[in-house]
Amino acid sequence: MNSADEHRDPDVDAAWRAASRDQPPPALDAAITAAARRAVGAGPKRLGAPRAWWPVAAAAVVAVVAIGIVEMTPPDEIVPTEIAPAAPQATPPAAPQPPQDTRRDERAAAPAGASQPAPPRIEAPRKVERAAPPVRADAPATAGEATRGTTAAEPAPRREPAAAREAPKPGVPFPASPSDASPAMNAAASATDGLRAMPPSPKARQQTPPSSAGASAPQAPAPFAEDKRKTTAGTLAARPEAAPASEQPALAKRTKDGETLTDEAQARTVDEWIRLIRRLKAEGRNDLAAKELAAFRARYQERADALLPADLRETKP
Amino acid sequence: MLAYAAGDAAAFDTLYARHKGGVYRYLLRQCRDAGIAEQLFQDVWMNLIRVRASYQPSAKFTTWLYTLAHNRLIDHHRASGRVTLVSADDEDHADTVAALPASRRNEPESRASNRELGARLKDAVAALPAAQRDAFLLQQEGGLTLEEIAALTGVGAETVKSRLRYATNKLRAELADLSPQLREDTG
Repeated sequence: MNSADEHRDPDVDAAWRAASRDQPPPALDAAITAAARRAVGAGPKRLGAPRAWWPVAAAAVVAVVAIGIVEMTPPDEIVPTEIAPAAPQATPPAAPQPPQDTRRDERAAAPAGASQPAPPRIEAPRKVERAAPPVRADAPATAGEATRGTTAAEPAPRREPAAAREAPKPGVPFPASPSDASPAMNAAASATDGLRAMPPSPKARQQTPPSSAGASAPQAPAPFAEDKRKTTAGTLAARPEAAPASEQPALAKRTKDGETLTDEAQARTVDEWIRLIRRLKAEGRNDLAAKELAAFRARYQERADALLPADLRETKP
Repeated sequence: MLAYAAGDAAAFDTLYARHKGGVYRYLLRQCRDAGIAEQLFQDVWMNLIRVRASYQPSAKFTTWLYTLAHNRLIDHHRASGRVTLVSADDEDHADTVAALPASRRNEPESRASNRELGARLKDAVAALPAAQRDAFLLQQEGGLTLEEIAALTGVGAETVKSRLRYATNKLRAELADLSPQLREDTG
């Protein structure tokens, strides 16, 4: 019995328990319990619900970002997809040249009577895709077929192999448009066209001996284009000096090699080669033309006479 | 209470079912008006719901609950201008006790009515001085100990003991003539 119980009277306590049995009204009970539930439901639960979703939402965001980064990072997938559309776009730099180029081609080819209609340059990439497979250097093709195929495919043989060689290099950004290309590359590309379309500058003529230039002419067009991109127009003229005739056996070896020959043939077609020889002759660079003709014959050997037009067939190196 | 503070609504139902009657009767016997008692009762529980997060189990929950009810009652008395719980339990306050309304036992109409035991007991409690009634109700309805009542009301334990002794003696004297009936009814 504690201190409080000492002052308790059992009779009073019993009488009080019997008498005092009042309870709050049920409506009041309902109101209070409802308020209590509302307070619990509207308070901590409302605050707790977003907290419960935070980890899930954060994990989802992290997963999405991680997947996005993983999909974007591999350069092997990025470079080809960017190069594929960029290859046709690489042709516009040569666009200002074609009229001049065509006119000179027509003038140069006038004696042969093989007038070649210059198709619009815009169609070139589309035709290249169709014409590229049949245009093989060792494939028997008539002059007319070669003319049609190569004229349309003029820009492609230069750019596509170069692009294809540069594509696997993930670290080397390939210009998606001509404007993205460096001035040196544009100059080199112009110089490549200028070799056919424009007469070399007097300075270049002085610096470049015809014989040495001719030695470099038979080289494969693909390295030719590649070298043009790596060098400026000035060094392009000096480049043939550095290209010894020792590369010619390598070319001959590559000519016999079917795998590498495909690239070479796509790089320079028969018609393109013929036009180059004609242009060199028209410009008076007969020794260079003779070198080119010799390289042509070395490449096509017994089929060379069949492929060459009559005016060039009679020209003996 | 901790469970309810953590969001368990069922815990509140348990607490409410266990303590609602005692708190309600405590308030009802103190203010003697059912409407006011219901209002105070609702205020006490709403206050408990509101401050649930700040509840610290430093004392027994019952003590904390009746502290809320006691404070609300004092606020009500202050707001209504009535005399608050006066410490009229010992000889120092003999004058105050003498000034309190006389027991209804002395009222002829009350004696003549021969009311029921419960009503007479309620009247006897209502006739107690406020401080004694408060201590008696805290002991009877809340089941608080002397120390708990002392801590709740802010007085010493001896003072609470004195109040309880005075209240019990008065109620026993009030119910003396009804003792056989009381024993019969409650036994």
